[in-house]
Amino acid sequence: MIAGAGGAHPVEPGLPPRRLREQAGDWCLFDDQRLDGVQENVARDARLGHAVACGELPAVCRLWHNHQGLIVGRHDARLPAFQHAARTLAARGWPVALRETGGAAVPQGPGVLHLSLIMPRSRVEGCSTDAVYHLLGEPLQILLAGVGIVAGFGAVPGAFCDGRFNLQVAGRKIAGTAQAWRAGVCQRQGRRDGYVLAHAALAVAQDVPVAAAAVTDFYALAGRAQVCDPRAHTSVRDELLRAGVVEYGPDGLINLLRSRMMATVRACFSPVTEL
Amino acid sequence: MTAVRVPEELWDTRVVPQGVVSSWYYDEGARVEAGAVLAVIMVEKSEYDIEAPAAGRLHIIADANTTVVPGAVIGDIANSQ
Repeated sequence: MIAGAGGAHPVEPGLPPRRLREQAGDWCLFDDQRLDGVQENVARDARLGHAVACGELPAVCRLWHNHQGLIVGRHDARLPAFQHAARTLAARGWPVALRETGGAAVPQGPGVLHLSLIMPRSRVEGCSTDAVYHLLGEPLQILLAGVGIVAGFGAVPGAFCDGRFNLQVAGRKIAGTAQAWRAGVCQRQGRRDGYVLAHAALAVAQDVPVAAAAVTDFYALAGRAQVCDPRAHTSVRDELLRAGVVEYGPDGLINLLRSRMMATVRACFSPVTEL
Repeated sequence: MTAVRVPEELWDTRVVPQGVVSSWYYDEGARVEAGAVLAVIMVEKSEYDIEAPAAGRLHIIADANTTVVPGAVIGDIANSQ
C-alpha cells in the first residue's frame, strides 16, 4: 500500500457523493475512445453539456484521452504575450486550447486519463463546489486504491494548476480537478437550464518533467514568471515503480487503468446506461 | 431594483474565504434580459456563471477582479416596467 497522507487535509463534502449522484438524476457512461486534440475535447464536453442542459441526454460520465497539448485558463489568455506563447508552444508540439473550467495551464497527452462528469445545472443548483469535487474525486480514489495507491485531496505547492482539490500522494499531485457551472445554455420551449462540468485529469504514465517544462515555458513566453516544479508531481506509473511494481509498461498501464475506471464508474454511478 | 448575488452556499468559506469576479459580459448601464449570463465568478478552479434575476438596466457594484464572498451582491438591476 502506498500511503499518501502527506499534505492531505480533511475536507467536509457537504452533500455526500451518493446523494449528489442521485440528485443529478439518471446517468450514462461514455467510454470515449477517440484520440483527438485538446481543442476538440474541450468542445466535446461543451457539446455534451448542451445536450444535458436541453434534456437530450441524462447526466454524463465521460472517460477520455487526447493528443499532447496544453489547456489554459481565462486569466492565462489575458497575459501580455499570450498569443506569442500559444504560437511558440504549438510549434513545439504543444497546441494550446482555452479551458472551460477554472484553473491555470495544464499539460495533457496520451499518458493522462480524463474523467468528465456533466450534470444538469438545475439538478445541482444549491450544492457547493466542494460537494461536486467530492463526487468527482470518489471514483478516482477508489481506482487508485485498487492499485495500492492512497490519494487524498490537498494543495501541492509548486504544482501546475494547484488547488485544494488536487488528488495527491505523499505531497505529490497525481490528479487535477476543476469545474464549470454554465448557465443559460438551453433556452427553448419553456426550458431553461445549464450544466455543471466537473473534470479530472489523472496522470497515469505522463512524462512529468517534460509536462512541467511545457507549463513553465508557456508562462515564461506569455510574460509571467511561474516555475512548475516536477518534484511536485507524480503519476500512477511513478508510484508503482516507487513501490517496486514494474510489470506494467505505459500503454499496458493506461489500458488497465481505463478498464478499471470503467468498472469503478459503473459501480459508483449504478444504475448507468452506456452511450 | 433586483440584486445580482453570489449564491449563499457556493463554497466553504472556512477554508477558502474569497472568490473573485472573473469577468462581466455586459457593461455598466446595459439592458439585460432575465436569465442572461451576466458575469463569471471564479473560486478554487471553479467557474460559475451568474444569471440576471430580472430584466432591466444593469448596475455593476463589484468590478472584475474584485474579491467576493458567498451571498455578496455584485450588481443590481433596475427592473423594466
